[in-house]
Amino acid sequence: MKLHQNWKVIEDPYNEGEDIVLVPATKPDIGIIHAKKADKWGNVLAPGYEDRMVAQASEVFIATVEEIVDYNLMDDPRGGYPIPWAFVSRVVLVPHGAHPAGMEDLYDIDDEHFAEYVKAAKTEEGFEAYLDRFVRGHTEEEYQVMVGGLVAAT
Amino acid sequence: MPFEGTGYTIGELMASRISQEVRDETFVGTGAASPGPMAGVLLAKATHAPDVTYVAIGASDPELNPISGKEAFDLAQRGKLDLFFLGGAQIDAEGNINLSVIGDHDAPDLRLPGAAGSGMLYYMTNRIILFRMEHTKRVFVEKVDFITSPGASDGRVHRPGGPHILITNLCVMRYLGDTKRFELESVNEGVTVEEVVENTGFEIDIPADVPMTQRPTPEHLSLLRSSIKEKVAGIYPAFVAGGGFGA
Repeated sequence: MKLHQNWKVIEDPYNEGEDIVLVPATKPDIGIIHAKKADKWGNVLAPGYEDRMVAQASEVFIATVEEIVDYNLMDDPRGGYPIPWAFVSRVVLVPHGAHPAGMEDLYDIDDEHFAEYVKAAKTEEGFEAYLDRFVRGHTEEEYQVMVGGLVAAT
Repeated sequence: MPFEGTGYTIGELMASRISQEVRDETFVGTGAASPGPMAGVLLAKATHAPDVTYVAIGASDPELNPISGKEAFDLAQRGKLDLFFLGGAQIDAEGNINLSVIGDHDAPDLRLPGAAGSGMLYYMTNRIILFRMEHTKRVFVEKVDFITSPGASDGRVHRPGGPHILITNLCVMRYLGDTKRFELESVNEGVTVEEVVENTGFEIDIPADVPMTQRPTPEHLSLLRSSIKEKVAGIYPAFVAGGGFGA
């Protein structure tokens, strides 16, 4: 409760003598996840069951994906949790887009790069320098070459 | 009969008028027993609103109902549903609808199917289109026997949405939230203002000049009689076979 000043406590109207916490709804303007697959209708196969709720809650929901398949993921959601197209605003094809995190069954976490990031992010200057080196002004392709060519790594 | 000689049916007029209310890139839903609204939304999707996300609650076709029923209600509860459609066994002067009982609540003459979500949807959908194809004093009463969901709410009530227009076989009325009254927007082709007044059990605001409800365009009619008719027939075969769309 100390960490969530906007949460309220009221007396539970159904259980006398007990309090209950009211948590306000989260309403993201934009929700973004990286997922394994999308299909041509815009259905997305997400890595976690809770991703569908993120999609439901967000004004705009974007999924970057490893692969776009030509069968209907709602009919065959093996290997993940399906999000129907109605909750998906945009799908972007970005193979290896989870880096430096990993993607189950496809590629592992890049521990070395993660350590470098964590070190850099300890200070504001370090974080800015990291962004300049890897993010700002670079395309996804340039980034992937810089971090060692992920296509070769898998 | 108002529609003889017009070249279109009441179902087609209703669908065409409804399509004008559908905004692109929004969520729009229809409930059970709503072939006319379904046709109207599909017509909008086929013309000016290609990116509308349409949820026909309960339909088994995933193209028409891509999410679960629970999620459809979640959408509305979060204020993300822009347009939905409700009817009523009775609809009264203030826009109250009755889907519960005719007669006394504790000893009803007729028990109706019930609210089916309208208690929440009438409040939380941005705009509700009321529709009823029987424009009589039996339906449009001064005061409903039972308020399943009220047209407007006073006081400390969270109510972002409510009734927008009412479409009947005789006319289109606009709901005025400030005064809790209906205003006549247009009369359907071949119908007079007097006929509307005679068949309505409550007083409505009537502007000096009441236009005719805009005829469906040839493009609308062509779509309604081909691809849309087929899609609606997939969900409401009896309605289409029974000539609900005519032609």
